[in-house]
Amino acid sequence: MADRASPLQNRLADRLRRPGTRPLLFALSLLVYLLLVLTGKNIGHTASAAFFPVLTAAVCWGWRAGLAAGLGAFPVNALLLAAIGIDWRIGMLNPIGLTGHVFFIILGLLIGFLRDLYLQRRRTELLLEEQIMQRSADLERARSAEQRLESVLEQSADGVFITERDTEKILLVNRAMLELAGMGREEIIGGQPYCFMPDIGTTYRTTLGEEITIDMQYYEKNYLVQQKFLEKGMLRGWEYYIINGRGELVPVEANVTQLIDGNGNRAGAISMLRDITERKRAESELNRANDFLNNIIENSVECIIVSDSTGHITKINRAGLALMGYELEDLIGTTPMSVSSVEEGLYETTAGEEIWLSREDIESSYARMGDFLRDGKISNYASYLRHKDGRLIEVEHNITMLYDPQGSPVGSVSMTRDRTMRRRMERELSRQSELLSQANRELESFAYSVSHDLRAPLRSISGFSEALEEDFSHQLPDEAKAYLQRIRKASGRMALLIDDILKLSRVSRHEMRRGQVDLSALASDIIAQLREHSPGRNVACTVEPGITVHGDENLLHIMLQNLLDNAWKYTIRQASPEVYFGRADEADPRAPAHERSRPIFCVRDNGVGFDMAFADKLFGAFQRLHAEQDFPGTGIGLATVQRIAGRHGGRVWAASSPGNGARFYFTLG
Amino acid sequence: MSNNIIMVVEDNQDDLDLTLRAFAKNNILNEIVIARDGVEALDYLFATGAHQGRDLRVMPEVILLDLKMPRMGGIEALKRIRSDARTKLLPVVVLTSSDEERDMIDSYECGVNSYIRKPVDFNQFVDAVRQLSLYWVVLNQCPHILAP
Repeated sequence: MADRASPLQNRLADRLRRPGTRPLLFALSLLVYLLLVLTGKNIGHTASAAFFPVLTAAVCWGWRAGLAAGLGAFPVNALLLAAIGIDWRIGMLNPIGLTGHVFFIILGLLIGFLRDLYLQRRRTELLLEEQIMQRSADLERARSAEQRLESVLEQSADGVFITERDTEKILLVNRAMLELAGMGREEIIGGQPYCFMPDIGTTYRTTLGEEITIDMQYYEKNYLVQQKFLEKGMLRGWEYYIINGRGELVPVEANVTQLIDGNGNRAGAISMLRDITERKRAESELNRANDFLNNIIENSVECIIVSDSTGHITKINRAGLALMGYELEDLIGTTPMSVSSVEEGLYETTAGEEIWLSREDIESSYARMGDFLRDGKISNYASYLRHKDGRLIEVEHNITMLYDPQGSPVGSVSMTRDRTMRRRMERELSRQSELLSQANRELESFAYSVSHDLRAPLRSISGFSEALEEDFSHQLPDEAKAYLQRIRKASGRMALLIDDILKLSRVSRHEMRRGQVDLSALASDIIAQLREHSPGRNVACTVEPGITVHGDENLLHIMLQNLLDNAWKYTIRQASPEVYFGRADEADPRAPAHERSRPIFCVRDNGVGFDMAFADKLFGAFQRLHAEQDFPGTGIGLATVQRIAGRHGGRVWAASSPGNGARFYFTLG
Repeated sequence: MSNNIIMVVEDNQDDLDLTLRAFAKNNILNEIVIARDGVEALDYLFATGAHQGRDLRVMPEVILLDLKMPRMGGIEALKRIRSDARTKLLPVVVLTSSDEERDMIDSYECGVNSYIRKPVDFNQFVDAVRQLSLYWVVLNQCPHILAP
């Protein structure tokens, strides 16, 4: 039974059972009593009688103790009776007699009873005392817990307030909340939470710097949230705005919990508010970054496909949809393979070609996927997609595996370039180059026939007019002979023109063989030859040394030959002719910016020059600014120079005024 | 000198006449064999066609060959001449209007001995014919390999 007793009863029982002097006394009196019983005759009855009340009291106490120990009254009483019996048998009852004994027994019992009574009362008092102590300790504990709680709440970084049920009056508010709302404690306590809520229809600036108008929708939304709170008794992560001391809206996240009193009734609510301005700012930064990224993906001209680790498409941009002719919902969740599988066969491509895909083509294409799985990326991977209408799209992928922070693949992103346009352009290019080479072949055969067939009749004209003059000289008047002379001269000039046309066309047809060319050396050679051919002339020639360029030596030779020939020719009437070749500092007035840094070369003379009004005619074939009889020539030289500069990616231009010499500038790309 | 034959392969009558006139003006009195294209030239050289039964021991001292001719052009004729043991050592001079590099390269690759461009001016032409006749017919020595 003891184990079911209350702690208080246990303690009392302990106290009653506690071994003290009384068991010792009991044991001592029992010993004396036994001694008396054994030696009663010598000491007499008096001593026995004197000890008896003590014995009886001890026995009574032992009985109580026995009771308390659960032994029951019977054995103790039996022991007492046995003692009396023994006493009586050995004849020691005489002095006080049986009545005396009974009296003492009753007296003993009375003492025991009184003692019990006293103990009972003490026990009750003790219990009460303990209960009181207990309660006051509980109260103390509760009070300090409450204080602790309040202190914790006060210290909390989150804004906390507690509202009363129904009235929604604020009973408690912490410092963080006061700071958050920018109000004093006295302003808030006793008021309702509406005191720091924004007003409907008002525009506020938020702590994020945005302008927000609190509309009906905002209140409706929050009303619904509140309803949910009433149903569930708690709310987590409720986001709304409160107003701070500067009148700004502060985004907060609130956790609200119902407070329940001891009877299980709703007593109010505790709200804990956290300022989430920084989180919102981070979120909006993240959103902006996401929007930025999405914009890039969406507006990319390349097709971008994002797949998960199982290869299913999770994202595809506009270019991708346009490329394949599908709608977004057709492709999300499918695999690129499932919509683009190819088998051996003849396909029409989006480039308008028909191509035969062999099994080997397909297998070698798939085989490269192995590289991707091994390396986690693959570049310029030529493959095929299928358009929704079944046509084959030739594409090139750059695929990169995407990993989570632990390094496990979570998907892949594929940048896919449509090769259709390139294929079309390649086809167009090859068509154009075919046309070009056909035109070149025609030009070549034209040049050939000019060279061969146009000269033959000229030779006949020249030859037979010569023959006429020789064979029939005596029959011809002088005027006729003069005409024949003119025929021969004209045919000679025509032969010259034909040769120059051929030279010009050869410059265009000539296959470029580029190398290092020493322009200074070329110019010096040409000038040396010019001197040799016209020993009578004394021209002061200056060549800037060490000018080397990258180009075709043959063409550059022809170019310098033409320019220096001209300089040589047009200075013939100059008293002290000068010709110069070298670098120039003047910029090309018509050169685009990126060509400005190119070196410019110049052939300069102090000859007759020309009128700049005709400068645009200078470089046209057969365009001449001077009469044939003044300065002989066919007008092909500068056209040739321009073609050679052009073939080197450069330009040629001139500057002059009549009588002031001419400057011919060129660049070579 | 008069025993030596000069062969002229030329389709253009004017050029042919001018060539013959140039020979005459230079007092070149050799026998001139004329062929109007490559086919005729080969017929003569190999005694086929119109020249069936010709004595093959008689061969021209020099062949003046035009390039652009109907039926068979000069380059093709030159190749045939060079690929036959009977004619492969015969001096062949290309005499043409063309100064295209391609023609010169082709001619020399096929084993021509000389490449002369016909000048338009008749006096220059006469001079050219004189020089080449003098050189090939008079100065130049070559083995006389005769057909069996």
